[in-house]
Amino acid sequence: MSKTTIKTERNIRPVIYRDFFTDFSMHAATGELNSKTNEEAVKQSIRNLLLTDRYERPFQPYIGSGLKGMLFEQYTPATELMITNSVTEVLANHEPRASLINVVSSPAQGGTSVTVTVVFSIINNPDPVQLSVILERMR
Amino acid sequence: MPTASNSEFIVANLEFDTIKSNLKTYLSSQSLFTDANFDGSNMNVLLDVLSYNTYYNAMYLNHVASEMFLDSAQQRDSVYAHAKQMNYLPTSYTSSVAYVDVTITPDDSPHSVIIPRLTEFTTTVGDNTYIFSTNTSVTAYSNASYVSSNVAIYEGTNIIEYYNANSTANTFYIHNFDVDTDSITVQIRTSNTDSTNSEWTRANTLFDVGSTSNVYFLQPGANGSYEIVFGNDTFGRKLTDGNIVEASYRVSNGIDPNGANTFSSSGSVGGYSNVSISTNIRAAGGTVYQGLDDIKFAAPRALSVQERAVTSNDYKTLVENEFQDITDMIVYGGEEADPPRFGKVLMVAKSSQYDIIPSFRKQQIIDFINPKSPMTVEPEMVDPTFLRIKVECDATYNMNDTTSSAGDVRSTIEGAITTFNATNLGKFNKTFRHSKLVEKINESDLTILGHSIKTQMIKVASPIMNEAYTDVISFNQSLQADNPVDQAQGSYVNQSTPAIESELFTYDSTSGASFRDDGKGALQIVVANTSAIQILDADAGSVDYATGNVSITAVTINAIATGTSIKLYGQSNTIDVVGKLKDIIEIQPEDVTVIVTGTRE
Repeated sequence: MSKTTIKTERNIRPVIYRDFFTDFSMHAATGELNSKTNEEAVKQSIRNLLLTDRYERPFQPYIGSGLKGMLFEQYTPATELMITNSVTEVLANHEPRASLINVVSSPAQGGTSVTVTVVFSIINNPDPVQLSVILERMR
Repeated sequence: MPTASNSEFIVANLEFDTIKSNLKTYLSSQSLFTDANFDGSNMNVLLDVLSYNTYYNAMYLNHVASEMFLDSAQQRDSVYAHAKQMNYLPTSYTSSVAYVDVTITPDDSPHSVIIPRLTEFTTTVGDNTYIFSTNTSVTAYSNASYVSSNVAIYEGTNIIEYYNANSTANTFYIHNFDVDTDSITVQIRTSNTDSTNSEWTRANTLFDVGSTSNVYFLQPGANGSYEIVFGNDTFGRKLTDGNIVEASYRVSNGIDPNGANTFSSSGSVGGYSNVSISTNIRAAGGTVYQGLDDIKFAAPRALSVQERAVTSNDYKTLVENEFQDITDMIVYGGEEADPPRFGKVLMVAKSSQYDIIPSFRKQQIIDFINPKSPMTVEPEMVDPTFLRIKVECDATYNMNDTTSSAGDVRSTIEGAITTFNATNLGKFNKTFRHSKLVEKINESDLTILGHSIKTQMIKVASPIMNEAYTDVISFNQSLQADNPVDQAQGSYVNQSTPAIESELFTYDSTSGASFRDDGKGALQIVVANTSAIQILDADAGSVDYATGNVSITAVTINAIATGTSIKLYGQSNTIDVVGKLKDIIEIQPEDVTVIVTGTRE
């Protein structure tokens, strides 16, 4: 006898945040835009912010982290601190849904890229969420 | 600010931030994608794109709408396009012109010497050298030496442009923006192998232009340039394949060469190098191209005039458009003149280049306006008359309120009077308002406690020394007849205020003499000081207090104390002085006396 899970009002999490995918991908069956919800939507938003440079978005020069610029610096403890500060600042200014818990950055691939791991929780939900972003020099 | 919702979406905002905010507010009413408010979300990025697009379109449409109307257009191209629709040609750079006598001393004895067209002369203004040239050939005949008098020379570099014509191209672009359009001449060769040119003339209207008329039109082009346009075999002959268009013109430096007074020949003149040049009239009349505000003002009025001078405003509009140095003008029928001159239209102009417009310039204006006037009317230029105001100001200022010296306050008051003159006077139909001047002086410096102003009208008499001088000088204002003291009451002379006084001169070998009326209509010559008066001539003329006419009859003056002319001071019957007909009222700095006294309050 197979086990059946019955969804009830109690175990269905309400959708608070909903965004579409960056690649505008569609649902294979319905043809509607796929959507990311709640922590996945917030993770996508944080990823976008970390990968955006200041002055990249016209009329809104203040949005962005400036992390890309740091990829051309020697990776030192000071660089790590600057990355942490940038992430903290960008989340504080532009992502009010996330409460930052920790930021860890480490060099990877022999120093040609940096992995930034952001641990945060969503407002009204104490569960920690982890996001890793790999920053890589393209030239 | 109203809140946007499904039923109310704000579309009137043009700023990026407001557009995006409106979109966010609008999307907040749906639940499918809820992250529009967060800067990092994809939905927010999508709103950026929509907002940019909306913003760019709004800006573009706003500019398009602005440029569609003459009043709001900002681009020179747009203003020119609107002017073109009104058949109005914005005025170009204009060459400064000087009139010189050219004296040639040849080393042989020719019958005459021809000074060819485009013979060049040079002059220097400041650190810059300018080239002037003749625009027509002139002949100098032998008369002791070979002299050509009053030769007009025009500033600018002479340029020739060639264009290949074909049956589909009838518009040619003049490549120099600083072209003087009055200097353009157009010649046509039928083909490249044809060596003969025929000169085509410029047509400003379609009147008298037929299918075989050799004419061209000038019209505003792109970026403030001009274009030469040829006909279509209906109005003006059409160019054919292979025609060569030769356009020659001057490129002017505008106002910079104005005032040039010393000229020398650039090389030989008429083949001779022994040349001397004397200046009759210094360079004047150079202007820059017409400003956009001027075009916006003039184009609709030119359209209403339709190149015809019928009303007095037509004359004024046409002349002011054509001659850039004419800053003000009044036009009236001869029946209003004193004495009446029926069949005439009298034009009185004020020029920024000349105090009194020289006769050649008057003739240019008449030649320009004559073909546009009704047949039975003869236009004539009349000189304006200047009525100057003498201002004596006695002011007191509070030294406790300022660190400025009395000299500083005096300079401030003099500046206020100069500004008052520039703003309120110096044109036709202006009235000198005593109270307005008082107000401006009071406002000029907050430390001024009070001041009094005495004003008199000034007219200038220019007698020839030691010759009987007869003239009628009109103030055009009624005069305030007083009862000046006579010789027996001389001790009270400083308490009288005659209607007419004058500067000092020498009469009958007696220095310190001046004109003065007797309060009963007679003009006297007296020697007066504050306590005595001596009448040298009790009947030097007459004064008409009602009309303000002062008649001077056969007075022989030996010398003038200061300068070469005598200022006559008239006391107006009213505190304000109204400029009538051709009068220009003005306050000149030399007629202003300011005394400032400091006090502590």
